[in-house]
Amino acid sequence: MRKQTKIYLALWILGAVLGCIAMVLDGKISEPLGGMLMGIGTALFAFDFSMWRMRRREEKDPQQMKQAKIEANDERNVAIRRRAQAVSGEVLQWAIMAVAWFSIGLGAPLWVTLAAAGIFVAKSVLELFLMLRYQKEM
Amino acid sequence: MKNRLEELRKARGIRQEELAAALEVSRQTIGSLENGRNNPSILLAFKIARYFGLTIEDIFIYEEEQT
Repeated sequence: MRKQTKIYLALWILGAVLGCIAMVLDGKISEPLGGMLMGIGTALFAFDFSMWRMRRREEKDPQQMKQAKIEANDERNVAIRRRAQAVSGEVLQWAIMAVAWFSIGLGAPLWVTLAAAGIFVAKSVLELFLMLRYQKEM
Repeated sequence: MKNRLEELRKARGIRQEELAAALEVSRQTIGSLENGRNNPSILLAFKIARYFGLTIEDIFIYEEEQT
């Protein structure tokens, strides 16, 4: 657990460093590279900071840590989480398809329609792939 | 599926929190099992049965749906 905390701390610092590099080198490096550095940096900074804080709190209170672990692995909570993820994924998929249709109606650029349709197809393909994989596993 | 979880727990004077801690599940899971809103996995059913020193059939009552 302590090792994990240190990894989160290291990644948090790395995120801050990447963000700083992107700001310092702004204009001196290509825009896509700067954007990538800033994107990765801020993502690492935000995610790892919250994870590091959570781990620190858990380390200070082992009872809370045990309870948090139980809550996370509790079969009802897991089932609720998976169901919510599945339903929200399904809703989002059809919402994206609706965006594709609306974009045609509103005369939006072709790439908007293609991107929305592409996401819809990609999600369907991924779903099918995972179904086949789980059929083999289960 | 019906179960005798609440009856067994109360007969032993155990609180939902205590049972949840012993089975390493949340208190809400115990509540939803007792209310019949949720059925346990086979692993949890075994854990519950072992905890009470009974068989799964002693605790969980399976009734086939009438067509």
